[in-house]
Amino acid sequence: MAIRAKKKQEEYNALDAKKNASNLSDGMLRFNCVRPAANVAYSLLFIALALVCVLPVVFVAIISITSEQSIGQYGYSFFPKQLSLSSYRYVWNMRDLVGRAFLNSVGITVVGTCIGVILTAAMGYTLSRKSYKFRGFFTYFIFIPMLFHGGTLSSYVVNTQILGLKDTYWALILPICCSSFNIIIMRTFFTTTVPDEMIESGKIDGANQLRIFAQLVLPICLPALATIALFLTFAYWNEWYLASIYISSNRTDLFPLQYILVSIEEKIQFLINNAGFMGADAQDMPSETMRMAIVVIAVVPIMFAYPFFQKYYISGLTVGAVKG
Amino acid sequence: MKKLLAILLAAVMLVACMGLAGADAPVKLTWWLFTTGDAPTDWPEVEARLNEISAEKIGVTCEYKWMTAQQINLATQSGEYFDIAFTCDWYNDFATNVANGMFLDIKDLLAEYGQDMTALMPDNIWAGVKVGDAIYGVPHVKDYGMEIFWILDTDFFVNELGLDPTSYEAQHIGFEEMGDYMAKYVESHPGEIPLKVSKAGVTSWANCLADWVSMEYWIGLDWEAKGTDQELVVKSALEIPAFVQRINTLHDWYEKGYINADAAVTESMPRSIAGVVQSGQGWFGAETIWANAKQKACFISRYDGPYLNTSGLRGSITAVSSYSEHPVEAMKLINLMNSDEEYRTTARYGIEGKHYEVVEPGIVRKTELGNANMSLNAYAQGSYALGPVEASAFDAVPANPNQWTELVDRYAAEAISSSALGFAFDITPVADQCLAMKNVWEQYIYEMQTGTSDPDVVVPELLAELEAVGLREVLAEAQAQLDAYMGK
Amino acid sequence: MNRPETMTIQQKKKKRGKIRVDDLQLFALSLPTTIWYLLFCYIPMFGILIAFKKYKVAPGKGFLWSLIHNSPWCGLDNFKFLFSSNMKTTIAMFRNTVGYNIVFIVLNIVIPVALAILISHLYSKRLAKVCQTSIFLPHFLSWVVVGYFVYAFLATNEGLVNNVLISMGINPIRWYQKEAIGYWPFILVFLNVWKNMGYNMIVYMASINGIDGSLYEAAVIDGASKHQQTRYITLPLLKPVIIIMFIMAVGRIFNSDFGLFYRTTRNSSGLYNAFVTLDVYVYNSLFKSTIPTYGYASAAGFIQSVLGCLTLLASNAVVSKVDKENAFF
Repeated sequence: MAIRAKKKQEEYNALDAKKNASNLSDGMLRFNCVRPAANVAYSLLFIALALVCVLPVVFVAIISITSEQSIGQYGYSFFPKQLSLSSYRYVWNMRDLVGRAFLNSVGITVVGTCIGVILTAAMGYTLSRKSYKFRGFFTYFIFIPMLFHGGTLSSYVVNTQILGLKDTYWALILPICCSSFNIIIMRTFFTTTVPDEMIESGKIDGANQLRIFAQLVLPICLPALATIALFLTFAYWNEWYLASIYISSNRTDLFPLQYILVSIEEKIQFLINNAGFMGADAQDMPSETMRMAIVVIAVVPIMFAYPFFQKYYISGLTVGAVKG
Repeated sequence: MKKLLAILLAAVMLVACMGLAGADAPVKLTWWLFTTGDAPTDWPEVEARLNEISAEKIGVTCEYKWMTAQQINLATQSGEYFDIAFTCDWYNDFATNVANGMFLDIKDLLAEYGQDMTALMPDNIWAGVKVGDAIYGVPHVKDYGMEIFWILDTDFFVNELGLDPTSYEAQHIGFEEMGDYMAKYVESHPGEIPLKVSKAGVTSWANCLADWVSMEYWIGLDWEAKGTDQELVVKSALEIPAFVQRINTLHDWYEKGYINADAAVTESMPRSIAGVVQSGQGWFGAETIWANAKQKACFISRYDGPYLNTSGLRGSITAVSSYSEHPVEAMKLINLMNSDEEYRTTARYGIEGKHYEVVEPGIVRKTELGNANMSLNAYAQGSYALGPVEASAFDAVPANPNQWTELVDRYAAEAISSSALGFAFDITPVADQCLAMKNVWEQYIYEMQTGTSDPDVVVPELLAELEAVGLREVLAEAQAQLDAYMGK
Repeated sequence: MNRPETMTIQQKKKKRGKIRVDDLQLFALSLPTTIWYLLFCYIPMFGILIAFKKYKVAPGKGFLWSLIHNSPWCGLDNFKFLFSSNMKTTIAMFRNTVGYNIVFIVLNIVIPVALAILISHLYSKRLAKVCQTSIFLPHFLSWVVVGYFVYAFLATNEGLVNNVLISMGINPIRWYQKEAIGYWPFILVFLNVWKNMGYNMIVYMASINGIDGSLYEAAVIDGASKHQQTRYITLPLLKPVIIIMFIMAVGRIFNSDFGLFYRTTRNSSGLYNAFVTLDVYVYNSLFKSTIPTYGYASAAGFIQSVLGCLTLLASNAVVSKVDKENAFF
């Protein structure tokens, strides 16, 4: 039975490969393109957009190596009068903290993304099956939390007092591994990409839903899985709010990277509001070049992780062989 | 055979455990401390040393938790357990917590276990923590009266202008007077800005402009009306002449280019890059701290104060939780922190030799490690006056180990006391209006305190808007509460 | 409509009201997720009660006891602060929240869809990859950082824009003061699209990639032009995704991206009426307060939830009239 299901899968893959390899397809590629002039126009458009988007990141990098005096006197500029690596030296002094935070972020992101993708895909799949008896109920079930929240205080109480997550990695992973938004997107992907016939044929072969899900459905939905994985990766990498309420200030071994940057911001906001009262000893505010340096450190790794996902969107594993 | 051995081992361990449990294990307490974002890196080491000292002296160990404002609000509101906590006017709000019954009345505990500490504290410092007959916290001996200072670059003021920083005149330059000096600066340094500020404005500029009932909502009593029949009338800041006059001065300075043009949208202005004229609330002796922050030699000049009012007295308090299981031990520990020099110095500076070195009796210098890994808000732990002061990095700015006794004497001699000492305004009956007022102030205050907006235009506008959202009701409620308080 | 002869086998089976093994299997598959929702969404939901009570913590008694026994009901009192400001601000608040969101919803669908389709036409896959990565970059920057960047352009004295204006002989503009309030809606819309287009593109690109190539082959054989292919194949097949994204965005029409409005404008008072949204107003009132304000925050969140729910249901109803299959429910 399992062999039959596998054979079916191979058949589909073969069809797919044949299509991509056929002369007709090659001809298609050459024949079904836009006019060269249009291609030039589109290319220019995209290059312009890319520049508009890259400029700020470059700018942030430039600010991070501008000297404080230069900023104080001349403000920000693409061509600073005076360069200085002091902010990176400062970060280097904090390398234990920042290095550890980097590892934390990576670990949390990987674990959280894996858990999140599995949970999201499972629910998305069950909601996409029209014959599922509880489909309507569960759609409402996941829809309500999308709009209604209990608020910070009750979440805090549940997570710390009932679930005991305070000062653990799980407090940074579990609360955001599922989101109704992602589940709905998954559901839409599954509804459009996975036809009932395929499921039926799997069932005729005697497979249960779990098997069908794992062996038939998931392999053909890789773009969808990659999408959700990407969203989750960014959500986890950029997340800091959870750390600010669930991780005690002395547990620096648990800090994620973004939190360090944001906690500097919070410090500044607090000082703006209260420095007048706090008196002489109020710890002085970190400078803006230092903040930019931390931004660079937080952004660069994820920039390099992104191309790993990208292949699912551009060259793509063309799927959907069963359609039509 | 093996089984027998195992049973024997287990029995021995059991007896040992019972023995240990029977022995006097130190009581473990939880103390919540203030931080703006992170705990000092080397704190675990320091805490271990502190617990050694306290276990030996009073049989108590303590786990210190560093909490941001948001964390401590969540913790107290969700009912987390603690024994001791830092509280004040602007963090873990003292008045609200007392109203909720969060803090213990420690009057009796103080009499029995806090004698070492109370002997070191001036009498008038207790007015802020008393509510009726009860005492709800231990105030920290620090600059509890408000004095606001100019922090002036030695380079310009002493070397260029020839001021004598030890003279009385130089140490008491008034607010308006500074305008003349800045005029000279702009003349001799064209293109440079003497008074660079962030959107928070000139630091602490308004702290002494009125006897504030609530600085958050900008209502208070007029210091100038003290001694007249208007003394206890609660007014809006915009109706207090000293306030309006200072905004006008700031606007004048802005127009003349003494203040940076984008101040109202500038988020941060670290002391190390701000101008030759800076400001801050402190005391004579704080110049060493400020010089270290500025990384330049400076001297200070007082332009406001000293004033004694509730807000200043509530600047720094340590309170005991009303549901603490060990109130006696908690009081003993607070007593230790505020009377034992060894404990206090370790908590403040760290481990001797590693984080700081003794320069001379009463003065210590932080090492590089100490500056990096033991950076904290010392005044939030306990008495600021106990223990050595920090050495200055500049010879021109020597540290003064007697600054605290001088401070107490100076307050006794010069401080003006608020007529409503001890009064705290409970905003609950008018909370909606207060929140709306806050929103309105948010739209105006940054431009006002940086001198960006024209007071002649915005003051009437602001007043009209405040009245539209219920200013008069708030004032009436505050007045009623004050009258009731004074009637007692 | 649903006469027995026209129903499919599945629908017939469903109607019979028996729970089949298949259903149980699907339920088991979704069980971990269901548990997650119960723990992290439904149990904390009792916090909504805080919006209707004057929460007062009872020292030593814990949260639940305080909530039930120590906090009196106060009806809609906690909601009043949202409306107690002057008329001008309240109107501006709601107008900004909904108005900006309408523009954002439209632009954040039209532009990413267009870009996703165009990028699939590029000859050079390399160029497509590089550009797409670049377009995605703004998403990584927090609004705080974007705020600095904007400031570098718009600062009165040191800003790049003013320096360019001066060199062209035009008077510089004080961008963060009231006089520039007319420009900021455009600036804010531009920033929102700029930051989100890469992110939104992803969903549509993944969908386009999932479309069966043979459909395009068949169309070309039939002589369809590129434009016709887009119109008759790509767009209809993207429809389900677009509709879902649209409905979900509408459900959040009373929420706003706080960072965008607060950080880029630096909360400048002169510009207030151009950027104050519900979230900004709540933040200014509550988050800087030293006293706990959970009741008010909860009330504000609740209003956003209720209004968002109503608009989502309304838009879902409209969509189901037109296209039942792709509606949310």
